[in-house]
Parts: sequence; structure tokens; C-alpha cells
Amino acid sequence: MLPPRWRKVLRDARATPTRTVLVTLSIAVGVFAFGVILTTRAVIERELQRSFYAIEPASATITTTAFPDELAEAVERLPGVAIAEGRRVVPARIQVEDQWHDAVLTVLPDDGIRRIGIVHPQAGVWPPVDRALFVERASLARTSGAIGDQVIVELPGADQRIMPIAGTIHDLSTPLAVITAQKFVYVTAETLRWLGGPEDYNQLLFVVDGDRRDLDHIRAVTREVERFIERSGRPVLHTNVPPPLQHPAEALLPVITVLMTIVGLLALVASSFLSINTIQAILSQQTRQLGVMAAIGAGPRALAGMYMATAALFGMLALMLAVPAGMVATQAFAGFLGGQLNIDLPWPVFSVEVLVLQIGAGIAVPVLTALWPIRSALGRPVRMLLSGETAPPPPPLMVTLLTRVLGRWLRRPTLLALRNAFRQRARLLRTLVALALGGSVLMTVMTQRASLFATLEDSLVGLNYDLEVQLAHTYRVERVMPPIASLPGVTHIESTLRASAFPVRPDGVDGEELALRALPAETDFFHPRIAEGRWLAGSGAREVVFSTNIRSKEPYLRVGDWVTLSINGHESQWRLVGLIEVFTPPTMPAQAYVDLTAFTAEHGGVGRTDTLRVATIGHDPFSHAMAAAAIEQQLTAFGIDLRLIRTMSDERRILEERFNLATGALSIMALIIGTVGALGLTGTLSINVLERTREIGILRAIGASDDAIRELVVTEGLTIALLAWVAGVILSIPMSYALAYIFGMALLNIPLIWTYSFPAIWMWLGVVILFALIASILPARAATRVAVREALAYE
Amino acid sequence: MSSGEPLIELRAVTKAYTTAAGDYLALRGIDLRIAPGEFVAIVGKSGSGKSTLLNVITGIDRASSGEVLVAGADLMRLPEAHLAAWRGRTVGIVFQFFQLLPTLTALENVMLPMDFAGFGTLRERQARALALLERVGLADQAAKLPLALSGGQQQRVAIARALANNPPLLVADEPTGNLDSQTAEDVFQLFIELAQQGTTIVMVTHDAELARRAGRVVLVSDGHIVA
Ligand SMILES: Nc1ncnc2c1ncn2[C@@H]1O[C@H](COP(=O)(O)OP(=O)(O)OP(=O)(O)O)[C@@H](O)[C@H]1O
Ligand SMILES: [Mg+2]
Repeated sequence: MLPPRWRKVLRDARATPTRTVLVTLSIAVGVFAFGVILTTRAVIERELQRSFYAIEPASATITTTAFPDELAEAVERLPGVAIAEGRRVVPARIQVEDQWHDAVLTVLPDDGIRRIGIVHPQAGVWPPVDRALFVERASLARTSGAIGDQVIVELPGADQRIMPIAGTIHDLSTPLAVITAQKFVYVTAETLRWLGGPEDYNQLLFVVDGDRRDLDHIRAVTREVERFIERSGRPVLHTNVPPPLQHPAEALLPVITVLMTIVGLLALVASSFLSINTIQAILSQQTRQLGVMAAIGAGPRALAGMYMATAALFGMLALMLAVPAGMVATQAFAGFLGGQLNIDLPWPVFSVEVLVLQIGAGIAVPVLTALWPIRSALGRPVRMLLSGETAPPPPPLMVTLLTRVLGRWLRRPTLLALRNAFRQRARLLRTLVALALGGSVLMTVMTQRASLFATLEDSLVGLNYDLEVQLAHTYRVERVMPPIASLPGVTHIESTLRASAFPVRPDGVDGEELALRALPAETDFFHPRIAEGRWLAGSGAREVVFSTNIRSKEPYLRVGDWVTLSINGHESQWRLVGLIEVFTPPTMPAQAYVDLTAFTAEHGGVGRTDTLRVATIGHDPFSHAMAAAAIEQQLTAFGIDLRLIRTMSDERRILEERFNLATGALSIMALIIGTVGALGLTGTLSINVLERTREIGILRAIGASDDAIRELVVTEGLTIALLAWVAGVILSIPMSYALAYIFGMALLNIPLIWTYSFPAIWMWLGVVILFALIASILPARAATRVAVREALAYE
Repeated sequence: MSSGEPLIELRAVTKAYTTAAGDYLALRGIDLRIAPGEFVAIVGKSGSGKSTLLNVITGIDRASSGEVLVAGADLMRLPEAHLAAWRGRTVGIVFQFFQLLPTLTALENVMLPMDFAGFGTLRERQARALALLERVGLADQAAKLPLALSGGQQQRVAIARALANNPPLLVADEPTGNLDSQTAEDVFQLFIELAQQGTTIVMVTHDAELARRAGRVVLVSDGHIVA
């Protein structure tokens, strides 16, 4: 048996079921969103780390010339080295279902067991068999191929071979499929021989002994290993020491998770507003009861306790919905993100900490926010409470004036509804904020999308070519240019050279690999946006320009510095004259541009090319595809080995796919907050109707029809909706601007070009009107059901 | 408490209401002593200040000046937070419009003051509430909600509720004002019985007939006690 005061709390909640259901739903949606987002975040962070540890990631990778097993075994015996393993990695291209893909081909041990960067078979044949291709599962998912399909595999300069896809494997050491365009494929050593590839290993991977997180320790061991390799008579071409035990995507996670957390908190805040409104309405409706209870001995604490319990009750009911629903949704959401990150999640995904937090928030938020209306309700003397003084403040002067002016055009009921909306201003404000938040997030997402595309277009404006033709090796320019130039539709060709370069840091250690391209300084094809400094001065200048993501990779570099670049083992000096904005994630290699003449003077290759940039008459995807096919045919006819052709339409398509992913996830969040806002509006309208039962009864007594009453409620809903529309538009401006900046900097290294989405304004108007109409249904029905007699007896 | 000491002592009490038109003096220097066990009827024209006087005695409202001593407590100095607890233990209040909580049964309404005062165990409260309902002749209506009771029944439940914590003082503002004459008589009879059992009663009434049957009549006029 419960003491009577708690029984009152329970029965009062039951006495107004609509109100209780609405406030419960509203809190539930907030807690749900909060829980789903935070659980997903916690699980993804945890599982990404755990999965990455489990594959035994390499502490460092050293690229050298061909070496046998014995070298790896000898390295493993070095002090400080726990495991060492040789690997053979070659670039390749593969054709799946008529589509050529840039690929990275890695040789698997015959038993399929790697000790570093452990791979797991997923489907198909295992262990690996000869003359068959194994594909990383996330790579395969982004092609139209399937196990059993015949694919063409071609190594640079070698013959094409046809082989089946025999199975998929999971290799978490590969870059994210969403970010890279490369496909990761695996073969046996025998298959590589058959393909015409080299013998032996070219990369040495190792894991250090002792503290695997200690970067200094790893560096020290790496230097020893490098020395050992050099003593064996092989050059160290490149050394890569990644951030220890950190999956590459971990660098991207913070932005996404911070965004998610903000949205989760916003949803929770918005949902608490309806809870405040409800508690405030209950308190005002029960003013006299408060007075009576105070008169028979209930102190302020006891009374506050009762209404906090009411709020807690709403919270608990909400949790009963939100927790199970959240578990299901988290499964889907985390599953989706886990898929993007190429990790397997446990089932069910679950986080005790978040569950506790969710339960805490589900109860604490309504209870603590209830303190606010409770304080103001109980702040009045008992005499006032007893006399039931609840008369709402009169509408503000502005509204009075406005309705007087509008009064010439608007009909009476419309005017009354307008005034009604403004009667409880604090309540109106909370409803507006919740609704406007949803709207502004929606518009921010749409603006974000528009900004992404605007930025993309802008970055493509400086790229005036249509296709890039990468050759398998260098050729004399006179040999490759004429066959392509003779093709109809080709208007202009420029020859360039590619190389991988490593910045040599002041301490003599190699930095991260750069994608270097030597092109004529006076190029017609490449006019990127300059972020800092300037473009290359002209032919022959020993200058270099980097993409802006160099800042995070080589933070010591300043425009004006001389930079040492190690290219194919040969070091040369270049003056850094500028940084350019390139549309690429920070995790991708930085790009470096030098003048072709200056480059060939230093590194040789005068009159040769390995990459051609081609402009065509048509610029649409179809013309691009046609041109690519024609060029490929022509090159084959002339016996020139092709590596890959990239068209601008392909580039655009890849980026668009990435954007859709990002905005898709954001849209779901907008939807969640929007739902909270709509529930808030419904809740507030029904509270308003409930509070005005007597008034509505009087209107009916003096002859107002059902239609008139309904119109009153709907107009009030529309008034609030229109205000929320305006507020949402205003709020979305700074919000979307901030997001465009943060998002751009974090994911692309450049702030996005903020492009406000005007269609979003009209879409939001439509949504908000729809919301208002739906939100008015229940309250309007309740209002038309008010019977005169009942209404006049109502208290 | 010795019989010589008054249960209620008001000295030079004034009460001013602040209104838009300026301060309005509803009580203009009230001196009043009521001994334990007295049955006092307060009468006077509408607007003379009777309700204001009761509110000052029960601590529902604070006097503007003067001294208010009730059952040993100095109401002018008792902090707001302690006032409710004091009232719960010391004063039983009966209102003109009954003021039962609509979602609680008769029994629960009677238990409520004990709940707030922390009186006894839940079982003891229930037993006492039943006994009180028995006393006002409504034991059989204990499980009903107020809306299911007649006005007279509701007022008797309200009296049982006022007696819940066994207070030395019972205050009623026109308790029969909303009842027909027969029901009013029944309710008034209850007050007389209570007075006979030693409860101090202060009751505002417009009914001169009933007032005459009280032990003492106090006439209020324009914020003064005139008799
Ligand atoms: N909250 C208030 N604000 C301003 N004036 C008030 C307030 N309450 C009462 N008054 C005024 O104080 C005077 C005394 O009021 P009170 O309610 O005590 O009268 P009453 O004797 O109980 O009348 P009734 O018999 O009609 O109940 C009246 O003139 C009334 O108008
Ligand atoms: Mg009165």
C-alpha cells in the first residue's frame, strides 16, 4: 500500500491519459535518441579499438627491394622486435563486370595465416588457392562483383589474366572503403608469378616488443631494423610508422561522435521542454489543491517532492519505451556504422555505462527541469494558492497591437487563436524552441549537403581536364601523345609525371608518403584554390606546392621553407611556395606539385610521361565513358600499357556517394529532433485545450459550432508552427555555418563553401504546417467533445 | 497548557492588502484572546475581514503588524518552511467549498494530513482515518471519491480530515455556507460535539442562528472587532 500522496501522483497521471502519453512519448524520444547515439558511439569506439588490436597491427612497415624469408626471420631475432614478417604488395588493376578498378594486390601466405595484420576468411574458398582472386570484403561490397565472377587482373606492364573471385577476406589493416577508391585484393605467391609479378617480398612489417604504444620506443627499434636491412645490402625506400595501435578511422571518429553527441543532447533538451510545460500545466491546474495541501500541513518540500515524483513517473514510463526501442535501433545504427568501418560488432551491442546514463538522464532531466515550474508555483503565498489565482498574464502589448491591426483582415476566431497562442508565453517559447531546433537541424543538414556540393563544384572548377590516363610505366611523350590526340573529341592533352615522395623531416626521418606530381607550371588544366602563398612561379623554378592536409602531417612546415623530398631514394631541395585546397580527407596522402621541367632536371625523365590529362569536347558522364573506352582501345592498339583511366564523372560520383552517406546519417538525426518537436507541439496544444475547457464550454454555450472550435485549435497550432518556422530559419543560419566549417576542416581539410539551401526553407515550412495539422488533430477532437455542463463544472 | 493561558492571542494585528489602487487595510488593529476549549463564532458583514482574520490565525497569511501567538507559536516569527508543519500538527482547517482532493478517496483524503505530518505507520493512519470517518458517520463511504459524495458528506469528510492529526484548534470558514439547512444542522452538531470534547473551535458563519449557539460570538466590522 502506498501513502496517499503518492497515490494522488499516480491517479493524477492516469486521470489525463492523453497528456501523460504525450509527455511520456516526448521524453521517450529524447532519451531514445540520446541512448542510441551514445551507445553507438561507445560501442563503435570500443569495438574499433578491440578489433584493431586483435589483428596484431604492424608497429612499422619498411619498404625495400626484394628480400627472402630469411631476412624477416633475422629481423625477428633482433632485440626489441616481437614479430617480423615479409610482404609483397604490387599495384594492379582489375576489371569487375566491365568496370576497371585501381587495386592493391597483396600476396598471402599459402596457408592464409598472417601473423601481422591478421586476416580472416569470410566467404568462399579458404585457405587461398592458386589462380584465383581473394577480395577484401568491404572492397568487394563496393563493386558489382560477387564470389564466382570471372575478373580480369593486370599488373603494370604484364598481360591480362582472367581468374575467378574465389573468396572474400576481412583485412582491417586496409584503408576505409568509403574513403579510398582502391580495391584490396589478395593472391598466392604462385598466382603472382602467373600474373607476371615479382618474386619475394618488398615490405617488412614488424611489431615491437614491450610497450606497443610507445612511439619513441617504436622509432628506436625501427632505426635498428633499418640499419639491419641496409647492412644486408638493400636500400630502405620508405618507412612508415603509423600512430601506434590506432585504426586510421579513429582520427575521423571524434568529429562524427561530437556531432552525434550534440544532436543527442539537443534531442534530450528539446524533449525536456514538453515535460516542463506539462508539469507547469499540472501545477497551474492544481493551484487550489496545492493551497489545500499546504493548509493541511504539506510543507514546500513535501509538495515539491510530489511534483518531482510526477516528473520522475513520466521519466520512468518513458524509459520503459525508450530503452527497449533504443536497443533495437542501436543495433541497426551501430551495425550501419560498423559496416562503414569494416568491423564486426558483438550481438547485441550494448553499453552498461550508457544504459545507466540513459536511465539517469531519463529520470533526472524531467525531475530537475520540473524544479523550475515547481519553484515558481510554490513561491506564492498559501492564501493565493487557496484562492486558485491562476489567471494567465495578458498577452503582451505587441500581440495586442498586432491583432488589432490584423483585426481588419482576420476573422474573429482567427484573432482569438492568435491571442491564445501567446497567453502562456514561457510555454510557447519552450514549444517553439523544441520545434525550431528540429527545423534548424533539418535545414542545417540540407545546407550541409548544398555546401558539400558547392565545395566540390568549386574544387572541380580548377580542374579543366576530363580524363586522367595513368600508364603502367613511363613512355616517351612522342609515343603516347599522337595516338590519343588523333582521337575525335579530344581537344587538348597535357603530359605529367607521377612519383611517390617522402618529406625528410629535420631530424632526418622520412615523413608520410606524398603523392607527387610534376606538371608544367603554366598548366591549362590545374588551377586549384590557393589557401596560402602562391602557385608555382614558372618553368624551371625549384618550387613545390602542397595540399593543405600537409599541415596535420608535417606541422613544422611553413610557406617559404626549403623542403627536402626523397624521391625514389634520391633527395632534392624544393622551396615551399604555397598550399592549395584539395577536396580530400585528411587521412589521404598529401599532394605535392612541382614544375615538370624542374623535376626532370633533378630526377631525370626528360621527354617522358606516365600520366596524361586529356580534355574532351563533351563533359558529361556518357562522353567521358566513351572517351575512356576509345583511349583504352587506342593505347592497346599502340602497345602502350595502361594502368587506369579516371574520368571527372567518376571522381564526382565517388565523392557524391560519400556525401550521401554523411548527409544520410545527419538526416536521421534531424528526423529524431523533428519528432520531439512535433510531439512537443501536440502536447502543448492539448495542454492549452485542457486548460481552456471552461472557456471552450462557454463558447459552445453561446453557440460556437464544432467547426469553429476545431478551427480555433488548428489556427493556434498553425500560429505556433509559423513562428517555429521563422525561428528555425534564423537558428539554422549560424548552425549550418558552424557545421560547414567544422565538417569541412575535419573531413576535407578546407572549410566548406557555405551555401544556404533555400529550398530547405520551403520544405521546412511544409513540414511544420504538416506537423501543426497533425498535432492539432487530438486536441481539436478533445475540444469539440467538451460538453457545456461539464466544462462549466470543470476545475 | 494551563487554563489561564489563551490558545490564541492577537495583539494590535493589522493586515494590509496591496492592490493596484494602493494598500487596503483589511484588519485595523485586532486584539483577540481565545482560551483553550472555547467555541467562538466570528460574524460580520461580507468584506468585513473575517476570512482575513482566520488566515492570520492559521498562518495561511501573515499579518502586516502586531503579534500573533497561537498554541505557543509566534506566527510572526515562525519561518515559512516551519509554518506548514506547525499548521499540520496544530490546526485543523475546514473550508466552505470542502476542498477534498478529487483523485483521492474519502479515506485517503483523511489520511493525507497524517501522511504529511509523518504520523504513525501507514496501517495506524488507515485505522485512525477509518475511526474518524466512523465518528462523522461515513465509515461506509470510505472508498468513494469526493465526486460520488453529497455536499454534506464531503463536508463531514473534510471535518474528519481536519481532525486527522488531533489538533487542539479547529478553524472553519463558513463550513455550512454551501449546505442546505438540514445538512448544515448535522455538520454544526458535529462541531458542538467536538467542542464538548475539548477542541477549541473558531468558526466564521453568516448564520446568526448557528452563531448564537456557539460559546462566544465575535463581531467583525471594517477590520475591527466591535463585540
Ligand atoms: N487578496 C486580496 N487583495 C486585496 N484585497 C483583499 C484581498 N482579499 C480580501 N481583500 C479585501 O479585504 C477585505 C476583507 O476581506 P475578507 O475576505 O476577509 O472578508 P470576509 O469578511 O471574509 O467577507 P465574506 O463574508 O464575503 O467572505 C475585503 O474588502 C476584501 O475586498
Ligand atoms: Mg470570507
